[in-house]
Amino acid sequence: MYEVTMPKLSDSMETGQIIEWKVKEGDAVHEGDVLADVESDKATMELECFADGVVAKILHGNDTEVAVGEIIAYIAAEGEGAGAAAKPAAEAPPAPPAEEKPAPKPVAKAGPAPPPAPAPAPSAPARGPGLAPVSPYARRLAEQKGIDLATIAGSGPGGRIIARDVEAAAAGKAPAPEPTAPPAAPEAAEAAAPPPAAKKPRELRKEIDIDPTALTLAQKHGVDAATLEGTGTNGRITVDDVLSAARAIPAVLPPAPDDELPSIDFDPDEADVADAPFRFRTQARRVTASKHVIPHFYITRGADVAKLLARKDEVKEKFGATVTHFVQRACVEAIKQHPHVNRSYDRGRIITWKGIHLGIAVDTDRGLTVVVLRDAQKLALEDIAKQTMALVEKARSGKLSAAERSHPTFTVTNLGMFDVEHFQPIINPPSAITIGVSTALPTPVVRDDRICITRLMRVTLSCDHRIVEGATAARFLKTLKELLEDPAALLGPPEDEEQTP
Amino acid sequence: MAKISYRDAINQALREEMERDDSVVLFGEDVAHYEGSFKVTRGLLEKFGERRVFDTPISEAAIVGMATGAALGKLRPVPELMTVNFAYVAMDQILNHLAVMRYMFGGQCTLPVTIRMPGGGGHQLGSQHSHSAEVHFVHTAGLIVVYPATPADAKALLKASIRDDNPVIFLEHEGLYNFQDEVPDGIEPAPLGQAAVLREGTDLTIVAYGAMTHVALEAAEQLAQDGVQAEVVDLRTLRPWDKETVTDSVAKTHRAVVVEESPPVCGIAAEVATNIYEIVFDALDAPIERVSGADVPLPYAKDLEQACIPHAPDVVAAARKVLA
Repeated sequence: MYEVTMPKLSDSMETGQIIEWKVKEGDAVHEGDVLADVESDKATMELECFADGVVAKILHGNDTEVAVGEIIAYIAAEGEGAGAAAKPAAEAPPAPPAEEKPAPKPVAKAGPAPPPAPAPAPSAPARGPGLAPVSPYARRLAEQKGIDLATIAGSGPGGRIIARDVEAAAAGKAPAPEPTAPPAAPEAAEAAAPPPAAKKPRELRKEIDIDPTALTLAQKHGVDAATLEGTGTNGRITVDDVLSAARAIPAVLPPAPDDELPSIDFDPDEADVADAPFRFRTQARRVTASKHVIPHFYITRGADVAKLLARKDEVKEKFGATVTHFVQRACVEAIKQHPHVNRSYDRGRIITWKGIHLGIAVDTDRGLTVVVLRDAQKLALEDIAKQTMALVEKARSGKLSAAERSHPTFTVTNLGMFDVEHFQPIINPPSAITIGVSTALPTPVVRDDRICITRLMRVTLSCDHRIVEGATAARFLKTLKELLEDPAALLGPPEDEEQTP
Repeated sequence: MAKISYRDAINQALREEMERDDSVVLFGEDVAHYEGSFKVTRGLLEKFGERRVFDTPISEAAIVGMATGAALGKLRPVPELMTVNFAYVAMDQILNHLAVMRYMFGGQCTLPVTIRMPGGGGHQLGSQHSHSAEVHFVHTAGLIVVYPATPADAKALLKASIRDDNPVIFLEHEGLYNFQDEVPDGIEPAPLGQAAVLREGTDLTIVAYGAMTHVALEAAEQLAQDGVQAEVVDLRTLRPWDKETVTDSVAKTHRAVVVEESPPVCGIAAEVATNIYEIVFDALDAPIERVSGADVPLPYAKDLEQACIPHAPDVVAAARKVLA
């Protein structure tokens, strides 16, 4: 018996689609015949037959998606009856290469040339997995043992898959003399969960008093079904019970792989779903990684920007400058006085940047973009304003160059225009600090024992604790606040190393 | 421990309960002077006298009605109906009065009536005298229905039934009266509503009651010769029946056959099977097989009658089907 499996047509391929079978059960086939058209993420290819024989069973029909490596059909060798109820024990395969399903050649060969360990011959003809009945107990066993029912031929009445079929599959179909033969049911070999020890009926009933779909969901979501109160008939645990429990699990963001999060299940009439565009997914990955990997801490100060706002109005005649531009300039000055914040930590290395490259968060139609103003330490406020505006324009029209998008050593994000009073941004690597600027609110404060009204603008530093310590950040923030409150220094030419003091 | 017949076990239970409690009285057709049409009440008139053991006219409605009234009057009556077939004449008294009165009166009374009735077929008595009528009682809320299969259970369960303050339909099988088996001396009343695992096994569960319990045990013996180990569960009480013992057994064996002498439609086996499906569905490796009496009035002709009643080969065939 020869297994036809879904071939791996490309490195990135994980599932393939059977477009159309070119043969049907009972057809005689020869080596080189085309069995089916199969589609990968990249191309459609013909699935070639490797053996002479008769198509004994087709496990997956047209237009179905199948994982790479999964068995999709059986071909009985000539002389082997397609309907013969051969026992799973059986023949040693002729000198198999004893390898795993090999990496594909690009010409879409279907699996290893000599047949691998024999699969149990189906005892009843012509039943696809969609039709083959499975006893409830067999279904449960298959879930416990991690066996795909589609790979099992049933030996019960009418081709029903029953417990002994699942147990035979779990015991492995490889005959004894070939210990390294590839497992016919790779899922069983890889199943991480060991089958539970034999339970007393009462314990077993706790375990089995659960809807099979609910059991699958519970395993997927890491819910311990034994701890659930069933709300179904006779205390049966239902899908709803499992989903409620899964939702109750605190949503701790996992490190980068987001398939550790419970997936969101819903009925088609509850929501529409579409694949996220590439950049969306990339941002999701990066932001998740940043939030989870970088140890964030946050410090906040309010600065009285009354003078800053007055200055802003003054320079309006000469050049338009926003509060953000002033903040950028202030940050640059503060960084000069506290150069340690212009560094990054990466896998045991401390990277000390030679220039101050300011990242500025920009809200565009295409979503959030961080534009990078390189070597801001060389720029006066006017240049900062003009260049930033140019970058924003490019961002909005999608024309940023790579350099204009990368390596911000310090990132500024401002939500003050939306009247946000306080927020804690997620650090934008490789910046060690990302500053969140909020709106300037008229606020009563006490000064010289008197109450006066100031325009208080809160800024929050989100800091990477691997490279920035609390005291460092606090000192930086003190300097920044002083600059924001007395912005005279911001209006002059930038001081840099070349200038003589 | 002594080996006594099913008949004598019932007799002993009546005797001991009447000795223990003066309010226990027996009456029915021919139960006193004739000592019972099946001789179950032998010697009781002699021992306890006419005030406590007496004959009635041939009117089942009157017998049950009188029992109901006597119970309301603080007696503990154990009337006998000659066979379950004659209960049909008293159905209004049983289903419409005895079963519902305690509930309708908000518990102001108890009705400690135990109606004893032999039932079952196989003796060429014709369809009118061969009913297995337990279904009608099991369906009715307010009744307890007991059906022992062994002498020990007959004695222990009858004692429990008499002591219970609710109306109990105590069914006996005519074919079992001569069946002899061990009965422990001084046996205590058995709990009502509890089944018994008479034979342990791992390959399938056979649920039965009454005479069919013995058919099931015989079938289990035959299956054992082929290496199949059947677990046999005797229900003993039909209402309320022991779901836990039955479903625990099926959870272990993954296959079930339910045997009843009465016809299948809306029968005991249907009730048991449905509950197995509801409670332990995920344990099942095959659909449940019911082995029931034929869905016909029971014939008079001997061969035909036997063909309508389940025997061990029928149960074995059902077992092989679930094991296929």
